[in-house]
Order: sequence, then C-alpha cells, then structure tokens
Amino acid sequence: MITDDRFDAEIRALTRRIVTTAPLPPDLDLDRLRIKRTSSTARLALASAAAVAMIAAGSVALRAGDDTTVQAGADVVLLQRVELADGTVILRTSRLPDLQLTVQAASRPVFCVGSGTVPDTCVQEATAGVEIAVAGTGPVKALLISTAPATVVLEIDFDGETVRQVPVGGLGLVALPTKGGLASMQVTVTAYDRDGAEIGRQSVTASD
Amino acid sequence: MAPATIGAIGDTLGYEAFELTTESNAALYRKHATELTQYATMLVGPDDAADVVANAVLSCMSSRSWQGVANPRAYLFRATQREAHRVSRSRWRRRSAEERAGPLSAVDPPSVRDTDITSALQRLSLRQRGIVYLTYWEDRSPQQIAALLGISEGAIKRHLARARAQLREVLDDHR
Repeated sequence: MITDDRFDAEIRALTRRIVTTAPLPPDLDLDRLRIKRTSSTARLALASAAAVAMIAAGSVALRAGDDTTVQAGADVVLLQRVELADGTVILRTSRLPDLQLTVQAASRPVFCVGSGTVPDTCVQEATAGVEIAVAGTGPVKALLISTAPATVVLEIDFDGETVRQVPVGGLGLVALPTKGGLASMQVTVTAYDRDGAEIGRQSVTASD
Repeated sequence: MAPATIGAIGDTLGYEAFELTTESNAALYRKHATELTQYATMLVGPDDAADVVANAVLSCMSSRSWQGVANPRAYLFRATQREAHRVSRSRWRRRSAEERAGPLSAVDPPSVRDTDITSALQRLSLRQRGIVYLTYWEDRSPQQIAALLGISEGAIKRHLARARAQLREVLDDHR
C-alpha cells in the first residue's frame, strides 16, 4: 500500500496531466453574449467533412442504404447515405441535420465537392469554413476550401504516408496517393490564427 | 450601477469586487476563463471543455439574476458543473443511440486517457472529479470548496474520501 504522501503526489501529478490538456478558453463576445469561435458544432462540421473524405477515398466502405459512424476525438458522427435518382449521393449526419454533404458521382468531370450548409453560428469560426471532399478514380484529390481568416493545415495520412498542404485561406488542392488497399487513413485539419497560434484542430482516423 | 456586494465567502476565496457591467463581465471572464476551462476539462475532458465553459458563462451572464450575484466566481463554477452534467448525460444518450445504429469504424487514438488511473478518475462522479481538481490543483480546503460549490463541508469531505478510496484502490493494484 502506498503512503499518503505518495498517493497525494500521484493524484496531483495526474490532475496536472489532465489540466495540461485543457484547450484555450473559448473566445466569447460578451457584448452580444455569444461564442466567437470554437463550438462542438464547428468541430462536427469538420468531422463530417473529413468523414465524407474518407468514404469517398474508399477507406470507409458505405454501401447504399447503410449507415456508418465515424469517431473524431470524442465526437461520433453517424452518416446516412442517401442515393438520389440522378446518382447524386447525399451523406447526412445525425448530429448536424442542417449539414448535408453532397458527393457527386465519381464519373463526372468534377471532383467530388462537399457542399455544406454550415449553421450561421459556425460561419465566423476559424475552422468552420473548411470543407474537404475527395473523389475520383485513380489519384484521389482533396479540395480544401477555407473561408476563414486563418492558415489551415490539412494533413492526410494513408498507411503512415503523410501528405501535407498548407493553403493560406482561399483554396487549396491536395493530391493524395491512389486509393486501394489502404488499411488506415487519418485526416487532421489544424487552423492557425494570423499570429501562428493554433486555434483549432480536428483529427479523424479510420481503418478498413 | 452599484458594485456587486461581495460577502465573506468571496473574501475567503480571495475574490475581488466587480461592477457587473458588460465591461466588468469581460474582466471577470478574462480572470476566470482559464481556471473554468481547466475545471471543465477535469469534468468532461478537453474535447467538450470549451463548449461547457462557453455555455455556462453565457448562460450566467445573460441571466436576469446575474446582476444580483454576490460571488460571481462561485456562480460560474456551479454553472460549469451543471453544464458539464448536461453535456455528460447528452453524450451518453447520443453514443448509446449511435452505437445501436452501427459499429464504430474507428477508435480514439491511444492517449494518456487510456491509462488505468485515468480511467479510474473518469469513473468518479462529476462532483467527485470536480472536488479532486479543486483539492489537488487549486489547493482549496474543504471549507473553501464547500463555499464555491454551494454544498456542505461534510459532503465535500465525504465525496473526497470516496474519490480517494477509489483512486487508491487502482494505485495500490499497480504497486
């Protein structure tokens, strides 16, 4: 049995470890009594977009009529696949009913474009303007659109091989390895403010 | 507007008087945002901590009773505790429903949270976790924690004793 002093030291160390994982306090607009950025809604928007990217890249199989869940940190996103008569596939999330990510058929001469209706509360948030969509046969490409006034880093890891792109606002296009035979995939999106401080990060991992 | 009255409890906690205008709300938030976020992290983890704090603070400051609050710091801590309870219940219900709908296709990456002792901490009630945080991180006495959370000193001691017993069991097993 450990001594009281040793026990207290262990608990204090554990508490310190947990506290050091604390995020930055939320940025609040106290004049209007609302959140300026960082909400679970924004995180879910990102997680959903990244989940669509994974499905389109083939790392998560989703057959017609299937539902699947993708876990991003503590968030679990349930995706429902709805195929329309014209071949358009809509992935709808359970957590964000307002957010629909439309994936166009891969045979069309346009890479899949995620089009999301992001709730108003997210629009101002640093990471909320990010949409990721991946599609196509052969080399998979990701279209990253950032409307946020921030530097957004997209990092995609296929079976340990990392592709990293650093678009500064606007539009970023990332060429990814050819899909097929991948055991795992991780997508991490990190947003930095103009001073280079990290203000948001989302990571999604999936495996076959 | 007259400054808010800070009573003996506020003095005990080292709280300074604030005039509860929008401007002082900002000062109040700046002063306590970090500790509230750390407290929320202890209760619900880092992923939901910022949301818990944001909802708790905005709920307090938009409430009609806010202007009459004698000890805003204690009020904010209690609001954070309530919001953490709400998030925790909501998270549990949501995960249950979504896991019934389909298997998880991915899992959390391994982290410090997976260790036995951290798991033991997560098995504590939110109230116990909060008291552990205030005792071991903020070095508060049971009397001060009782004043902050609005429950009796005896209850604080009981919660802390149970929490320590559970954590000790795990630590002893690892010796």
